[in-house]
Amino acid sequence: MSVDTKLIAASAIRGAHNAVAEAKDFLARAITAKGIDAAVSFPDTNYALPVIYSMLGVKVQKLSDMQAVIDRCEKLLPAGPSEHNWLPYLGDTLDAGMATLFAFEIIEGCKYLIGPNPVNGIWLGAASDVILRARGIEFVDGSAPGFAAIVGAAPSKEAAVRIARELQEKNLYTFIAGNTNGVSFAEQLDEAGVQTGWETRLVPFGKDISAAVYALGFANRAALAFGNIQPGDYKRNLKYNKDRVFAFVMALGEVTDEKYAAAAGAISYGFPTIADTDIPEILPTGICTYEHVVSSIPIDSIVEKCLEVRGCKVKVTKMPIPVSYGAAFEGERIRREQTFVEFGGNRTHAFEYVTTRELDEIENGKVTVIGPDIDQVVPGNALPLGIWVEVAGRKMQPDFEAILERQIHHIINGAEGVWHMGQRDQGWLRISKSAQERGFTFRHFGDMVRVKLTNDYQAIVDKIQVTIFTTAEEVDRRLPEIRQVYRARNQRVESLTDDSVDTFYSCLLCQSFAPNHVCVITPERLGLCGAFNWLDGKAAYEIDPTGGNQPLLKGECIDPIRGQWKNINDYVYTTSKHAIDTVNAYSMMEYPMTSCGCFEAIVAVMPECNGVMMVNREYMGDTPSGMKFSTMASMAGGGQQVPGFIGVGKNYATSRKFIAAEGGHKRIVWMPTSLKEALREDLELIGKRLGIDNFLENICDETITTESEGVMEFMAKVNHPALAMWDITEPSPEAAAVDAAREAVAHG
Amino acid sequence: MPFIKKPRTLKPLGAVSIGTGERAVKIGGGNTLPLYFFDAKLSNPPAVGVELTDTAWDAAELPLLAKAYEGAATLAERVACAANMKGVDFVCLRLEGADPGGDNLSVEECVKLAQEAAAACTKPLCIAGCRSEEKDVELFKALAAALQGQNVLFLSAKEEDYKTIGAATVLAYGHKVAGESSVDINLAKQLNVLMTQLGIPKESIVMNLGGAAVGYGFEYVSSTMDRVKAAALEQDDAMLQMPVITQVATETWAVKESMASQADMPEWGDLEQRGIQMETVTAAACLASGSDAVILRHPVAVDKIAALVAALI
Repeated sequence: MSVDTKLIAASAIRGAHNAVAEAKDFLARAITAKGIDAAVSFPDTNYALPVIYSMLGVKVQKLSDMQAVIDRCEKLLPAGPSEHNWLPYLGDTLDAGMATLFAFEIIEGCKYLIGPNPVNGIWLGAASDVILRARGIEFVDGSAPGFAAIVGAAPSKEAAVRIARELQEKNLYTFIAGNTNGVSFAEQLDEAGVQTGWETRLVPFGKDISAAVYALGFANRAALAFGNIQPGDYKRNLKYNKDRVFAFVMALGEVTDEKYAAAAGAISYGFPTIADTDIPEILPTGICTYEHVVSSIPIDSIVEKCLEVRGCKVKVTKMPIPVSYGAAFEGERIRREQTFVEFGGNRTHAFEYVTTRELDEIENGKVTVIGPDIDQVVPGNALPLGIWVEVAGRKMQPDFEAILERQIHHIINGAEGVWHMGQRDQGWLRISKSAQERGFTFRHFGDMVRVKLTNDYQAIVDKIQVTIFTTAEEVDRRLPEIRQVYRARNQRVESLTDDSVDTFYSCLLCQSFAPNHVCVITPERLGLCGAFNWLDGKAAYEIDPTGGNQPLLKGECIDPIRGQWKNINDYVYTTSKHAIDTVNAYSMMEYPMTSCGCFEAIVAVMPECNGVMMVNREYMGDTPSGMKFSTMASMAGGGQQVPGFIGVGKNYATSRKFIAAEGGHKRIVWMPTSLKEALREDLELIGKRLGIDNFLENICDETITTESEGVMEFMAKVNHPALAMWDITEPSPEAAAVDAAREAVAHG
Repeated sequence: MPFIKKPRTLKPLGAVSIGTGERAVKIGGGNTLPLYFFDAKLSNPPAVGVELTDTAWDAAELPLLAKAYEGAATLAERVACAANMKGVDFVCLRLEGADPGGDNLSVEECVKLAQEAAAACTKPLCIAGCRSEEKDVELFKALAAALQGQNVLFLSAKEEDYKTIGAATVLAYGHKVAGESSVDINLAKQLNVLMTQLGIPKESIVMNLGGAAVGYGFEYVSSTMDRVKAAALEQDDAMLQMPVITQVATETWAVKESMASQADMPEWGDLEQRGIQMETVTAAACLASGSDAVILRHPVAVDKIAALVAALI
């Protein structure tokens, strides 16, 4: 425990004692004035005093009910932390915070009865249920990403306006309470002529710090109304708020004991406190998603810091570019004569590159163009281009860089009149004359990348900054460095083996039409659709932890040759709804992995050739099995285990684990030429590794024959390696040895 | 070979209740394949709804339809007629007038109309929008608040607007919502997953899988429903176990068989009979494929389908 934490604990506990004392005083005065049975409530609500109702399940209706709550507060109130003994005191601090909120709610409740009336001038007091529901919907549907509870006052009127505007631009609600030395943030806005009220999302609750309880009561009521949570179920209510209501406390100016006590209350909701002054901090995470109390944040960057600490992501709803944007434009071609300017495509160098930075190293949303922009271009010319994307995020990992980078192709193609091809340093882009006429400039590349990556990859991208380079000097200067990174990424993918990781990823995205099908994605066997490799699975899980890609701890290995693990079997059994109980990742003959229907290619056994053929989806012709792709697809698909037929991603053919149990690549006897060409480079390397000259020439194709006899003749002619292998319908000697060893264990 | 009866009962699917008190109707909850009433006694027979719009029907050449609403001048009176039709389990009010491309009634005017309709309706109420996405969102937000406590079914939330509509209708005011997809089991399931992740209880979701009139690609509808029911019943897929509601009328009354006048198509015979047949045949096919509720327009079709259901159970 740090000294800071202890200072805060002491301060919050003192503040809680003060708050409860003040509540007792208010209550005594109210009882004297109105009698102990006087009715008390916030106006137009069914939720009584909502914090108390949500947390304790107590519906305060009369002053006498308040008396009972005060008793509860006193029980919650801890003594201050001891001077000498270092005991854990976060729990005490939270109790103090909760007692403070109850006390504040009693104070505000009494004010409605005996004054001063909370509704006064700019101050609005409690929100009615009508407002709660109308505004609450915006928190649920995401049109309001969260709320800022501002306590105190900004250093100046101008600073207050800047903060309010920034929060408004991000569609956040701003709940305002309390003051610093008699000045309130809301009054600063009012003096500067800024309109406050629910309509502008700048909501002044009250000038006393006790009015901050309205913000938390709003959050509690949202959980009751929208989360179907019962009053008194404080655990679920607080968890709902932590998970779904992205709120934070922005403490401006001096932080008094009472403010600390209120902040301590907010921590229980998962709402952290961010202060502009130098106050003690609570940095370790625990209750909040990240830090609990962060201080000394410059006033100009405090909004951004608040969003970061709360993990609150703001979506940009409209693409800020002057041309239409959408998937419909992805297929659009721009011919040479329509082109205003182009980049790359062997005329110039063009790259796109995503790299990871620390959160404080970049400015979120910043787009810079270095070099000439479109207004300085001679129509028809080609320019160099570098799209340099810097990303920072608490959950960002260098492994995700390539995944984000790969999106740039779709992102840029989405703009009408803009065309993109290639990736990495192989880019080729065109901007059409019509896009140029409508005002498209180079910075819009950056805007598109920034907006789409922020929106679609919220879970991993907290901040993003894009720089567009358009001079040969700037582009070429960076190329050696980024080429090194591309190489390192390739090596990373190469070095990822099934044995080097302990976790695989599942993919259940296709279960809606193949309800029993479960993809198990390993570093050496990508998803059969070809669209999803192990790194994608890992990123997808970060992005959506409850989605279709779940981490699978592989656990005990049952069969290293065929690729079978106990945990994987168990998972497949459950998620295939008990249809499949055993899966081998590297065998196509025994318990093969199932296929949905989306596979890029099929590997099918040809027993008469003691080998396999591999057929890609694009190939429409006959195959030596007597079946076309479509006929084989109907056999292999649908989530059934069909020994001898597997659906695969094309790149699986380049894996070391390619049908390893059957002996791997040496089994390939037939392949359409189009697939051969697509995989040529990789297969030649594999041939070399296996010590086979002319590996590809040993594989028969449709230009030679589409008859099984023809394939056999061809194999004899080239002396195909499969001829010398064990019978493919039998387990390999190694696999048989594994079986024997397992048998021995089972029986002895 | 003798026929051996092997009744197969499966885990009952989810049921959704609409309306309040004694008038409430439960949709879904079956534990057999569609219409396999011989396998098990059905707790909730398929429900039959009748639809009307705030703008009255153009009943030219449809004397039987006109007669059913005879003497009803206001929307409230027409709703009362609809609710009292023989065989009707619930009423579906379509707020056609809200369409920005048509009468463009304001949200306030629609709220007033819906309140009048709800007050006059003696059966559970379903509310459908005007098919303008933006307008429907605003409309449903206001209607959900105005009809609080009446347990209305809103048609429909789509992938683009399910958050706002789901939050406004179910979460804020405890109504029910139908998730609309376009004849695609994947999209239907995806929407159910998204809505439940938003916090909408399964018991508040109905699936509007989309539809078609017979002869207009109905095979797609039928096979989609088959697969939905198979996944729900035989594979225990919790995200496809919500009841299915099908807007039959909007499909069948929009095809030429139900629209071309007898003057234009003398060889086709009476327009109204044709319309009734299209609607009845499509609705029967929907029930056989898995609809737990159908929404029809013509009183004769409603009567026939209700009679069919009664005869089967």
